Amino acid sequence: MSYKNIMYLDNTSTNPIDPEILDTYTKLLKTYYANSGAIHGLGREVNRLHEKSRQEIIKLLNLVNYRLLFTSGATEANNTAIKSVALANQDRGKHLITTNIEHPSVHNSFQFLEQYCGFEVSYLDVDQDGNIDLEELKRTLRPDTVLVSIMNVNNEVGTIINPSEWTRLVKENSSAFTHSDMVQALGNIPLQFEHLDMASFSAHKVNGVKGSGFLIIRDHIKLAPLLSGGDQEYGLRAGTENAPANIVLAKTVRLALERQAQKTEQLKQLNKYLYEQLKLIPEVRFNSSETNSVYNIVNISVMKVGSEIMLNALSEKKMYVSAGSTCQSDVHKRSRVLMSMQAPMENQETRIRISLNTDLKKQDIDILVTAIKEIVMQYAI
Amino acid sequence: MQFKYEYILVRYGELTTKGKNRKVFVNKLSRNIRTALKSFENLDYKITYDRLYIILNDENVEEVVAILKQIYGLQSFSLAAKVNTDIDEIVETAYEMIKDEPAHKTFKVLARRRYKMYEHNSDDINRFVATKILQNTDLKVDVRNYDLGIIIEVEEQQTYIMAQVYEGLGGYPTGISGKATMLLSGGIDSPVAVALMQKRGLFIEAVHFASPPYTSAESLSKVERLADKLTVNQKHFRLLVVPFTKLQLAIYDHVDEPYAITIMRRMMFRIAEQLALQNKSLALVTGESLGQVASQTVENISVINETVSMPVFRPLIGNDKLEIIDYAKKLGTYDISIEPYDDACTIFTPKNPATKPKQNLCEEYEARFDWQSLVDECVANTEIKVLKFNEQLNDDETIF
Repeated sequence: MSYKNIMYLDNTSTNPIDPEILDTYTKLLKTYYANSGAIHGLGREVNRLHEKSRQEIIKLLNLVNYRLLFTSGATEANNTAIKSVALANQDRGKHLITTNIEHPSVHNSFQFLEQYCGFEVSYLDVDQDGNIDLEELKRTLRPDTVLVSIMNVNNEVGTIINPSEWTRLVKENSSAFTHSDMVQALGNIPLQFEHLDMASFSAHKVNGVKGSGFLIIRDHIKLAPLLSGGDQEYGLRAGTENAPANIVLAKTVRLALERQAQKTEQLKQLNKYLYEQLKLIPEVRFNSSETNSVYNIVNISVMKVGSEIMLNALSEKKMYVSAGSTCQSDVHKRSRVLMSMQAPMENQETRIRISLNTDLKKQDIDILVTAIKEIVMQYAI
Repeated sequence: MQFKYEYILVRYGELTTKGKNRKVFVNKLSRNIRTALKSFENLDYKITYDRLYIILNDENVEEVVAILKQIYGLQSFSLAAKVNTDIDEIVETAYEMIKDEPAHKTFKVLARRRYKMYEHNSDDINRFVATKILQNTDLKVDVRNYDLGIIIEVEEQQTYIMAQVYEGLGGYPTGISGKATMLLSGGIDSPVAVALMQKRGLFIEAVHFASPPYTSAESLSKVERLADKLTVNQKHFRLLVVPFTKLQLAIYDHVDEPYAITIMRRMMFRIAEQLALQNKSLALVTGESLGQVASQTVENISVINETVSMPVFRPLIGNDKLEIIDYAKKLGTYDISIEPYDDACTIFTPKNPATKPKQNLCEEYEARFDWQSLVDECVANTEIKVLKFNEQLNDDETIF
């Protein structure tokens, strides 16, 4: 299996590590290996860098009065935001609100609270373009609502849900905390934190190290630790910190933000071209919204060619896409997101998610589209 | 809207009165400025008889100004624009420079013709510029108490226009008077003493007494960070770290408690003098101020001083604690100094220190043990750290 001459189109799932990040990470692993909690000189130095990284990220995101919790990724960040906050604040109420289009780490955290902790969860549906109904959200809020979590960018279809509107609505109409999964937003769209109490991020989605992420939490919010043990990370997350990964996170976030403008411009062009070419294939239906999506995620359904067949056929041609959320790995299961968007059954069965990246050129789009056409001709039932 | 300044005019300080030493002073000052501004790679410099011109070449003017404000030897400096010696350009540029100032401010035009052959005289120039400003803005003239003095210096080939004069720190450029060795604790006073001596032109090198494991790596890092704040006027700042534990323990073993601090300070002075001589320093400097702590009574100072023959400068001897704190805050060292890490001076404090020690008793106590070889050992094992302005102690740059 060679990694040369391939067309990797699954960036929404994960990304190759940036060479500069890898360099720094390797150096950190080699040199700064001491435990950041140790009192001796080596430990103190690692700790200094660790805390500096924390402060740098807070500065990069222009956050004031927030804490930053380093985690093992966005899944842990989401679990923390949801379970830790709900459990610590249940004296304020046991009603929670989220949507049906969240990442499994969010969705299943809410399900866990329902199943094991006696919480009541309202799941909002979205319209055919993947947008939430603000009026419906307002109607769903109750005096005992403790947390509302709505993602910023949907990972399957790419829909952008602007946090400013719904968070303001929540704050004006309830005393609930607000959280947003911003994993797919970082490096792609401007981030807004105005009425947002918590947000989750992942390093490997922005060419960083795998197994690394963070949660930002507004000051004074009570949380019950998920992992009990030592008092690392404000007493909220026990366990020796993954210092090398956490230290290089500052560079990772910085690079993601610095590259954002140019990346967006490049992907905008590629996205436009891809849509134009795909529209010429009669079998193609679009699940992503052409106007309200991030440019790097294009979710389509190719009629009469099942997801798995399309994936395999493209894979043989060294083009790698996915069928929606990789965290929901069973391709035969229906996509919860598409279901919430009331996508027709044929769309569900034939869905594929193409992720665009800045290594692609126009010719690559041509090659991809040609391949899809060929596959339709060869394998359509 | 910021006017885009291209030049900074630096006026020399006290050294203008120095006669034939002037060249030496000017050179030292300009070298200190260049060293402090080393990280701004695009700057150019022009040195004249009574001015130093810094050509910005698009470097960030605010950052450069922030550093110039910390350099000793400057009387003042101004941000300037350079134009051709042409009345229209002069008027237009002066106007551009202050047109966005808030309307309640008053101004005065101060034209000076260094080139006496220029067709317009100073009064005319003042009038042309003032007229333009009065006609186009709401600013008013006040020749006695003005907020903005628009200085126009007419030379043959060019004219400099300046609207703001920044006060410099004055004093002498650091290094012009020679080198001295400072006894640097982590306290509030010693960094202030360093700054005052640097301002009189002394290049400072510091001695710090560390007593691990009683004093932690943190307390040493605190001293390094303090020294870091004092490097802007020096090409480098050498920190000599003396391993003091063995000697300190010996003092406590052999000397009666009330005299422990006094004897400790005597040893510190001896070690500092040795290091000063080794490093060709001309004097010692301490942050002692009269009467603050038990070891700083006149009797104590006198008994401690007896151990050395080098001059000992005590720039804070007459200052109040509050004055010292004020100065430390301006230097940016106060917050670091109050970090709670013990140093050798605070670690072993006797309950009733002697405030009026006797010379003969000191000698009696010292006769009880071979302090000389312990002092020699301290001197021999001293470690040297060299700090440079803006060069961080580690590879943070590449990591972040």
